Amino acid sequence: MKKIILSAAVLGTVFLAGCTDKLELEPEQSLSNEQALNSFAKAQTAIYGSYDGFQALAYYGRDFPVMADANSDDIVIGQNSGRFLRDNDFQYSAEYATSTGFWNAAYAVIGRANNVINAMPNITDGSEEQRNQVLGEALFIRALAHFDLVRRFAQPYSLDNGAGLGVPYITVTEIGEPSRNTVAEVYNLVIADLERAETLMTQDVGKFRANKKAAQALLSRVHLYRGTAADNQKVVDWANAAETGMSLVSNADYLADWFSDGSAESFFELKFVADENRGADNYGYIYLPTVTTDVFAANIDLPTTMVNSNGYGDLRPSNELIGLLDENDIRRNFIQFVPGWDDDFQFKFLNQVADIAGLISPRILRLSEVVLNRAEANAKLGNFIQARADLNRIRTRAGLPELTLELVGNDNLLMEILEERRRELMFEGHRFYDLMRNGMDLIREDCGAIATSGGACRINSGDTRVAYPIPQREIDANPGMAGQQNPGYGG
Amino acid sequence: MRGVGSITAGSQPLYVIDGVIVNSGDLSRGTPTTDVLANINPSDIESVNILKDAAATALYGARAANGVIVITTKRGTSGKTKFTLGAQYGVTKRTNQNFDVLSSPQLVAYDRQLLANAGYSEAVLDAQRPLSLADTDFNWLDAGFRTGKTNNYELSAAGGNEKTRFFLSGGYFDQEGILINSDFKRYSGRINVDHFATDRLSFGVNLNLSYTDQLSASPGNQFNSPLLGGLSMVPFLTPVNPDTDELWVGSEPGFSRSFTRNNFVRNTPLNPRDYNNLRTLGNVNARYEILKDMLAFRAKFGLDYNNIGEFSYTDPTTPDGLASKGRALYISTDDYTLTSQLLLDFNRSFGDHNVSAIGGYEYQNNRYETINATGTGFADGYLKTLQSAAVPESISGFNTEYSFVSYLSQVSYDFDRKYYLTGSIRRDGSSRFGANNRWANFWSVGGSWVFSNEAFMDAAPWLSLGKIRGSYGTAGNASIGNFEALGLYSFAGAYNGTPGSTPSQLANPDLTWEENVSYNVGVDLGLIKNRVNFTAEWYNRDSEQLLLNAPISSTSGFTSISRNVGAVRNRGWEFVLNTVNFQGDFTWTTDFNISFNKNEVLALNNDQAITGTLQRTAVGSPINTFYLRDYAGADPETGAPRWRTEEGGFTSTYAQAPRFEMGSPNPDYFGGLTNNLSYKGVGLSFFFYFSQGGKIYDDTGRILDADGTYYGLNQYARTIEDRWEQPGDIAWRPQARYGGNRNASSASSRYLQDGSYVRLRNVTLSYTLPQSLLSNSAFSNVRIYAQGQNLWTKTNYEGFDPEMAVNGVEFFRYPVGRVATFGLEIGF
Repeated sequence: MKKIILSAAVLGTVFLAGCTDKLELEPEQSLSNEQALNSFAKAQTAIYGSYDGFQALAYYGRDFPVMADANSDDIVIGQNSGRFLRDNDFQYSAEYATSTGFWNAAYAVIGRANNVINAMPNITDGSEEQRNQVLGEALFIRALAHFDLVRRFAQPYSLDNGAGLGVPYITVTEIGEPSRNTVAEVYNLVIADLERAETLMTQDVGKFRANKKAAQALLSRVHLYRGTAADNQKVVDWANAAETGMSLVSNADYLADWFSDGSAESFFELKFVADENRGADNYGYIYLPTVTTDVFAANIDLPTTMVNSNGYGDLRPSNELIGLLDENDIRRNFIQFVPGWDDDFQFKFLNQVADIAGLISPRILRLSEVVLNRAEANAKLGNFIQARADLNRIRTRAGLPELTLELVGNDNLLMEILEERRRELMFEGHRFYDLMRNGMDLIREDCGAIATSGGACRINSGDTRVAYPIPQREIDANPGMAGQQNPGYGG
Repeated sequence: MRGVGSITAGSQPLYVIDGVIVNSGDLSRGTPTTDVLANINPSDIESVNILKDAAATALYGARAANGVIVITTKRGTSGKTKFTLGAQYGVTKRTNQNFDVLSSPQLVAYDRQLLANAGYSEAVLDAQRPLSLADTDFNWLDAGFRTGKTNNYELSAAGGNEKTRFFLSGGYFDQEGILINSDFKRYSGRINVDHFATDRLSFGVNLNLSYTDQLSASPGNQFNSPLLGGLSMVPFLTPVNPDTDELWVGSEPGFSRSFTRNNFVRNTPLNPRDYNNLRTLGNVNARYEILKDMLAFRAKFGLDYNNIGEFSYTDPTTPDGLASKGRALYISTDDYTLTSQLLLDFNRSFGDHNVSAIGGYEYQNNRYETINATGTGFADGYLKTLQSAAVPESISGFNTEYSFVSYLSQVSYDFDRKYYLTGSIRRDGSSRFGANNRWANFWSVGGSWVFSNEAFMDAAPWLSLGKIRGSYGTAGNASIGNFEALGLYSFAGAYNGTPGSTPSQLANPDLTWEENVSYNVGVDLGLIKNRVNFTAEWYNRDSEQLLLNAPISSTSGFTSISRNVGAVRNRGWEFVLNTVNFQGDFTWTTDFNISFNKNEVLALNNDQAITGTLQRTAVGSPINTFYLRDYAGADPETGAPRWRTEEGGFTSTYAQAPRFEMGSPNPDYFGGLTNNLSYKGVGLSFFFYFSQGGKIYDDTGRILDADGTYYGLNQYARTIEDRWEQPGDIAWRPQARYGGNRNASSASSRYLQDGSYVRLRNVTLSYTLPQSLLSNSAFSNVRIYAQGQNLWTKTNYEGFDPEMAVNGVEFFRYPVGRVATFGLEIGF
């Protein structure tokens, strides 16, 4: 009996001892912040984490570019899953989940980049070039995310020379209460980060990570958006730098080029791999109808493996856009009529990765855009010969005749360039911003032909709805933004 | 339980089985509506005790803030071994609640109107919805629902001698759900043994082994689920393709008039979702009396081990499996909870003074380990294991852990069974909290006065029991994630096949326990030799230091951080009345209880409301108060939806409509009424449950009464009533049009309804054979019975079941059924 008491007492003592240890548990799948960024290798891992943030569904994984496409006159919304209807109708409120999601995702990416930027001074291993490359990528990521935010949540620079409210430019991760910077301030900071990144990045890391050329290409875009005369010259300079050593994909290869990733003319693509298959949320599914391989193979002629698609088929090309595509235009092939659905759909985002329908690696920056950036800037600068040459490169590549001076005078050249830009970059999320930054109105010729619930047929440049509302949750959680909601959204 | 006392941490009560805190709730990773408590055979339970007030819960104080449910299982008694055999057979059907959807002619006419209202020509109407479609009218609800059969068999033995007592049981339970492809099976066994080694030393074992196997169809809100499909598939399509006589897959062009493009009749059986749980729950315990009848040492070591397997297969020929060429997902989870408890018990009487005390130590550690693997590319539906997958798609897993350490003490004293006092104090630590605030102290005092035992009450012989009691105390709540206090980087991400690290959590070293301060006073009265028993109680529970996901500026890269900032009060009354109306050959008893609870948020982070899409939590209002745009019917001129503005006017622009608080999901009161009648072996009992005043958001209606937003889905039958069709119509529903009408089906009070109901939960009619018939047989006891559940419900709620709402929101949840059961119980 004594033995039992004794053993119980011993057992008790064992359990009583070291209680504090029993409460000291460490997680097994995470590291503390200090341990996570204490070497070059870990900084590089954190950079991959930033790209992973760009891939979020709310950001380049789909919603950010598709919101802008839904805003435009290139698409109409057909039978639908309810997605992007509000963007198409300009009926969003400050609680709109999709734009709130984008806001959160963009600042999450910025936070990840900032942690790397601010940890770099304490990292000593790796070569200086390697460290600079990673720092440059982080700066590029920070700049791109802020640029995307200011495009979505503020009026274009041209409206008031950047005097309006932009978004907070964040450089340190903290629980802060920042107020909105002006649009002009955001552009200055974006350009400063990009110029620094352009200098720092010297390593060949491929086109699935940020690199020197990607920074040059993005600089050409940012200056084009800012659009002052000095900026237009910068567009030309940066476009020249970016183009060096690159060439446009040929007409013969053009279609096939869209059915695999790592395009020869891309500066920066966000690489998706097979296990990032999101099923119904794959990027392309918002455009693709549900269609079987058989129907596909029998009716659709595109240089790719035919795959079953379970797409929503929500966003469909507008008749207006289809009308702009000549039958000899190679890009017309992206638009195909699908029997059973009895409608036209666009197939630019059919499959690029592992023959999985709708899974693509979004092309963030590519040479065709840069050439068109330069054409537009040159036209605005009065350099019509250069502008026309760039325009005709894109046109002839597409299979269209050159637009000579006799066919289109210099006065109308800019409009032709913008129309070409619309065709070349269709569905890539540019059109709506291109109209607004140029002070042009969105006029939907198809309006009423196919039903949309709100029927937004015209959005004039300067309309309050051009700038999306700052998410209500941000206004509520951040006293620094009190009273800084965009006009038209109830304060 | 007394109201919701937490906003973000769990508000589940603590479950204690045979003295050991056990796991409850959902341990699965991918299976909805599972609860590990389903592994316990209800017939093994001797008693269930619900502890609510501060003094009663003190022994479990660390995590007792939400109340404690103490379950004791059956034990043997010395004497002849008693066997009990039980058999049950039952059928389950869907309830008579509102499942009505449009018929084919109604839907075709409705759809044509949608298109016409959106400006389509007659030619488009005839192409999209030719009138001939109405000739086919298929009832998809009947294809999704079925009559489920239930079988239950169990055998137990109880007995023992002076030294050893035992209880043994085995059970088999097999239930078919009311939706196709949903089944639940349980195999369970229990052994409880107590042995008295000497007059001072005793020890025992309680062991429960069980295995459950649950098959489910896809969750109700998915396109291929029989619930969503049954309600929303268009009736002018049938499951069978008339051209081929084979079942539609759903993706064929011929099926394109269906929004879901998924024929659940074919696809549900091909896409099984399986969940199984092997559970070992048990403890060994010993008790030694150091001083005879005065001081005892008790030790208990418990194990709660759950092994959970989840398997989900998506067939390559179904729409969800087409792109991946079939997908199989396996999840394997092991969850262990080890508990050790060392206690000293003291009991002593000094004359009329009785003293008892408990002091002890408790340690609990839980470890959760899980792995999952997915493969794609299956040749056909026959071989479903991962080995047959052409492409290993992903593999992952994680481990997590928590521990609790407690020191506890409790002292009780009474004088002459008239005056009772009890006090407790305990100290608890948890690995979940920040290093700065890991430990917390909790305490309680309670007292009662049995005034009916006083001499001066002898003059009132009709009063058999009179007692006034009260208690005051604190308790904790630690139902949060395991590592919420640490600032962390996660390495779960990847980019281009390379691991990527991302900040996953902001550091939070100050995070600490939620604390409840409760007090209550009550009176218990027993009248006329306890034929009438009445209890009334008033309570107040202030939950403080509530962990709130305080929203922070997203510019931090995060949207929220947990802080101990909130406070919530639950205050209310509880009344219980039990009466014996007749006694004798004919016996009739009535039990009635009713609870009134008022929930009020006292403090939040910066007192800023937490606002979701449908609800918000704001100071001065109940948790999860509905906060919605106030829908005001169709504009009589245009048919557009209208919402009220602040000034009392209307707007048809959704974004301009302000949101208002519009009621809470919590009922004003709820309760139950049970009547038991018996006459010479015939027994009848019926139990009503009622709930009054809670609001329910009919989120299912958002999809199924949506004015054309979801063209290609069938709609509730009510969708064609009370709707705007021409200028001048005063109607609730706006003009229906293809694509929906200006956000009319977005979140608004349009779908908010009164969720009050009365339900006849249970009726049982039983007959116990008289002993005179059994005296010559081998049987000691024979009882047959018939039972019905949910046979009748009264509610104004328009959705399919008011009881299916979670936090006041009903969205395609697996509905409860009407059950009829026949059973036999034989003792020998």
